[in-house]
Amino acid sequence: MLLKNLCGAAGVSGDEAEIRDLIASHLTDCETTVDAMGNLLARRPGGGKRILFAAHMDEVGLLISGIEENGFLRFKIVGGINTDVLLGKKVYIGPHKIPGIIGVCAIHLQTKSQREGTVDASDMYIDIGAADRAEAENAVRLGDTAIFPPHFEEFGDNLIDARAIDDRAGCAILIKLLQNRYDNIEVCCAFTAQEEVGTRGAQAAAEFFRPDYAIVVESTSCSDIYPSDRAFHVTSLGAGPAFTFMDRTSTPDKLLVSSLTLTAKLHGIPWQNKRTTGGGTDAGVISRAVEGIPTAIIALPCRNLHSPSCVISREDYESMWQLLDTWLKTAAPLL
Amino acid sequence: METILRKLAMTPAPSGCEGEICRMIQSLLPAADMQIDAHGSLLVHKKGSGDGTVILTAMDTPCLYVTYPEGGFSRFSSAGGLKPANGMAVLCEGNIRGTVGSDEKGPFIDTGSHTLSIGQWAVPVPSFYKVDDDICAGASMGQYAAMAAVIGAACKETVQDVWFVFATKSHIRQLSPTFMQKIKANRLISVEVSAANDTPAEKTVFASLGQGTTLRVKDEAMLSSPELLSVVADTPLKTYREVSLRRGVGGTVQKAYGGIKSVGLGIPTRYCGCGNEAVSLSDIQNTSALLAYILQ
Repeated sequence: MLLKNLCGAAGVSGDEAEIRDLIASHLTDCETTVDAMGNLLARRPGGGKRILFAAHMDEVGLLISGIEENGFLRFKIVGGINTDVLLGKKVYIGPHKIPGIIGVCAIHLQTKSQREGTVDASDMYIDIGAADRAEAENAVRLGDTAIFPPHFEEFGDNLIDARAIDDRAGCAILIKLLQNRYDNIEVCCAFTAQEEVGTRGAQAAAEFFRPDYAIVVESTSCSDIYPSDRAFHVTSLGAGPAFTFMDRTSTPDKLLVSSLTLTAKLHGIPWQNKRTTGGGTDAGVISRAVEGIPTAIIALPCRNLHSPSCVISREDYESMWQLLDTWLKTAAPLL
Repeated sequence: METILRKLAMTPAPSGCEGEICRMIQSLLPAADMQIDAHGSLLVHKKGSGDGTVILTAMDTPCLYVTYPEGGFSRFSSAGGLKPANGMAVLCEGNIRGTVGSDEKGPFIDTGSHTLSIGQWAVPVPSFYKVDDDICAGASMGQYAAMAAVIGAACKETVQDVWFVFATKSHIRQLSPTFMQKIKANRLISVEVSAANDTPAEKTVFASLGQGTTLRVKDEAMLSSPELLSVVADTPLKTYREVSLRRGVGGTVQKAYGGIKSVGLGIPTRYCGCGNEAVSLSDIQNTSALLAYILQ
C-alpha cells in the first residue's frame, strides 16, 4: 500500500534522499527534477491553468550532535517534537538504521525537580549498545539523523496508526494525482524539503513552477481526545479534511477555498473548518512567491501529530483524495 | 483631513479581509492608475520624474477571528495583537454586534441570538470622536491616521514618480512584498503607527501627540537609511527622532528583492492595541505635508 510504504521511509528535514527516491520511483510517467533545495518537482503537462500541489516529504526527527566517551549519543531535535514522547523510545540512526534507545538518568537518581518537571532533550541520550566512543563512531557519524521505527497498523473504526503521516499522507495523494490524467489542467506537484524546520524548500518550488494557483496538502492537529473541550480540538477525526481560513503564516485565498468546499458540498464529500489560527505551512512562502499566488490549505486531521504514533481516519484520507480528484475534474478547469 | 479620517475610521479593516477598507480608500483618492495585487494590496501610481518613490502604509487593523461557535457564544483567536477586554463592543462580519466576555475556558464573543461561523471576523466597533480640537479617538485610530496621511499626500500635486501602497495583512505579519516586483523605485518611505507615551507619570517620552511626525531611526523590523533620515529632517515640517519598540510595515519591504533604501515615519498614537486609540489631527496633517514636500 502506497501510504504504508511512504510512512516507512526515512526523511528527516535536510536528509530527504530516501523518501525522495521512493516517491520518484512512483513517478516514472512524469517529468521530474530535484532542485537545489532538495525538493522533488513533478509535472504532468497539459493545457489550461497551472495548479501547484505541495506536500512536504520531510519529517520531524533527531540529529546526532555528540558522542560521549562512554559511547552514548547526544542529540538535537529537528522540527517540533514534544520531548515527553521521546523517553524509552527506539530510534533508527543514519543510513544503516543503527538501532538505539532514548534514555535518561534513572528515576531513582533524579532530583525532585527533575522528577516533577519535563525532561529536556539535552538531558537525554541514545544508547546504541556501544562500549565506548570509538565503537560508537564506527556505527554513527555526527550529523546523522534518527527516526522513529516504521510501523503501520489499522485499528478501531477505520483508524490508521503510523509514523510520519505528516506529511506522507499528502505525498501519497500527490502521487495519485500525478498518476491520473486531467483535461485542461496542468498538474504540478512539489514534494517539498525542510518544511519542518521553517518551510525552507517551498518557495523555490513555487518560483520554479510559477503556478496560477497552489494547494498545500497537509496534515494538521486533532486534539479531540478531550471530549469536554470541543472548542479547542482544532479538528475532529472522521469529519473530513479540514480547510484553514487563517494560520500563523498565511491567509488562504477565499475564492479558491470556496471552489473546493463547494465541490465537496455538491458531491457529498465531508469536510470541516480548522478551528484555530495557530500553526503554519508551506502556504506562507508559496503565497508570497512570484507576484503572489492564490493558495489554499487542505489538511488531514491527525491525532498525536509529530509523535511516533500519528493517528488518522482512513475515511478522512479517502475523502481528501476524492475531493481533490473531483475538484480537478469539475471545478478547476473553470477557474 | 478630519473628514477623511472619520470616513476611514468608520470602515472595518480586519487583517486578512481588507476589501471594504480598500474600496473606501479608492473612493477617497483622485482618479489615478490603481491596481490590486494578488494579496489585495492597493497600488496607486502617480507618474512623474525621478527614480521613483514608494510611500507605504498598512490598510489593515488588528481583529478577532471566530474559531468555535457555540450558539450565540463564539470562541475566537486574536489576530494582530488585539487584546480584547471583557465588555468590549465588537462588530462582527455580516454587520452583527457583539460583546466580548469570558469564562473559565477563556474569552468569547456574545452575539445573542445570532450565530457566527468559523472564520468570521470581528473588530472593535468602528468609532470616531473628537477629544478636543486636535485629538481624535476611536478604534484602531493610529492605523487609520497613517492611511489618512498617505491619502492626503496622494491628493496633493506631486512632481516625482511615486507609488502609494496600502498593504494588507501587516498586523498578522503576513504582509507580502511581492508588489515590489511591479514597481520601479529606489527609495521607500513607510508611514507607521508610533506608540506615544506622553502620559503624566512618564519620565522619558519617546513620542507625544501634537509634536509632529517621528523619524523612526530604528524599529523592531527596520533601520532607516541615515541618508533618507537627513532628507526628511531637513524639511521645514515638524519632525523628531524616535527609536521605536514596535514593528513596522517597512522592514518586510525594505529587504525584498535586493533591498531598497528606506525610512520610517511615525504618527504618535496613544493606547496602541487597546481597541480605542488617540491621535492628533495636526500630526496627521504634518505627516501628509511632509510626504508631499519630499515628493516635490
